[in-house]
Amino acid sequence: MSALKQAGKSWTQEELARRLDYANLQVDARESDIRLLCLEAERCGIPTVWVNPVNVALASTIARGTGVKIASVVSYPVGAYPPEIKELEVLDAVEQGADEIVMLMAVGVFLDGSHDQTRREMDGLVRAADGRPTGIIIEVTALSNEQTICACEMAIEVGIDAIVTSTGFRPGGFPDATAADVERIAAATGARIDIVASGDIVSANHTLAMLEAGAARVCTPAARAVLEELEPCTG
Amino acid sequence: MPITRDCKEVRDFAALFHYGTLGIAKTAQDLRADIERVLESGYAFKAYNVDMVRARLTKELLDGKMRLHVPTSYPLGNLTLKKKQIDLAYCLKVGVDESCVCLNYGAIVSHRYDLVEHEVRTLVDEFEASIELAFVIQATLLNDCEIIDACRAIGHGGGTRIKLNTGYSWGTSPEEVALIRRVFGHAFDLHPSGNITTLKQVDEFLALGVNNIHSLAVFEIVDEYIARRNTGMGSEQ
Repeated sequence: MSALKQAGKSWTQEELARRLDYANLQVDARESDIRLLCLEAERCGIPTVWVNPVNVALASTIARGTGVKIASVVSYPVGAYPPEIKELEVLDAVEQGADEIVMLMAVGVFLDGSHDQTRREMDGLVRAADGRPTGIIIEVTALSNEQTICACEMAIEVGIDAIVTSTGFRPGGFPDATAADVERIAAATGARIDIVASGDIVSANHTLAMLEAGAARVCTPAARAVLEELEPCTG
Repeated sequence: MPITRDCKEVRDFAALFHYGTLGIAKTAQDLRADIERVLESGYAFKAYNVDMVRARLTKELLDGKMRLHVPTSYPLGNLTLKKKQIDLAYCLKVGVDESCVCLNYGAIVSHRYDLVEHEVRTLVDEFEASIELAFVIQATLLNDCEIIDACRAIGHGGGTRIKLNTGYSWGTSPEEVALIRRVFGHAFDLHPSGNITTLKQVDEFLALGVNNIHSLAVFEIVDEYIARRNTGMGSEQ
């Protein structure tokens, strides 16, 4: 089996696959695209796929019995909803069959300094997810270092499972997080919360750089291509 | 006689536009500053657009001087119908005057126009009496047949207003407006949106009978309009 080396560590395809989340958040994702996403995740041994809320029920049906988990991305890609509306969206996603929930923080509200409101939306996420794994996208490149640490600490306090670095949304979004951003978050949070690196991560080297920097997982729209840099996914 | 920003003609021209403050990192301070600028200008735009999280504050700041517009499922149309209903119910509670609803584009490009019609019908039946609804087809993603079929589904669902793009970088072309006009005449009120930054573009849309244009460059376009009138240069509507 082929392996890829980074910073002295050798990664097999199987090891790398376990650290990936496979996303299709495209505006025009068709049913066939969602089928392919779930099928490739199963074949390649990728544990979780990320889809838009409108595709959660479909993905959930397709993935039934395969072991692939469905993460619904809530309030994506702008995040600018009141906390009570975000909570209802999480409940809806759960009802549709989501196994995990990833929510985009209302970045503008956080930048206002309205941290009570940010905390309320994070609380609502955890409450409505009802024990399912949760992640919060903080769009790290929109924040200062101090603001990043503050958002991470808040997420840890309310019991969110993962900090997700970026929306990766184009056009109109912010630059994607770098490995240095991940290192910075990892240094501040230690092992208290997982980091999911996300954005335009489409190569094995970039993926490994994020993992080496301290990401627990990498979310990518190109998971199969990343893995096939090691060897074909035949599954 | 030269015209100025205070003239009725200029204000009537400005009233053709939707304008606003939208975006992931827009702060309350950004919003306050922008609304202050709008109110000081004396222009009464057709409506002021904001993200849902800013709806209450904007309602308060506009103080009835302008209509409030909040997009639904913006910009990807990626929400379930139930969530779109939740969002519009919230808009109703806050006193939002109008909304543009981003449709389920996956359904459009999969040619599931039955789903599009159902979505439109459900929202029109529940909300149109209280909130003016436009439906966003994201024309840039579609070929001509899909544009026509999506419009037909909106019509069958009871929708009467169509916004051609979200404005999130994807722009509307006069050809897309002309296509819909050719097929449906004036059955729909068409709202071009996205990358409309010049008076020349606006002229083209107005020539197609459009009277509702979304642009973040409205101040510059109005200035261009004034300059043209005062110098007698360029085309006229």
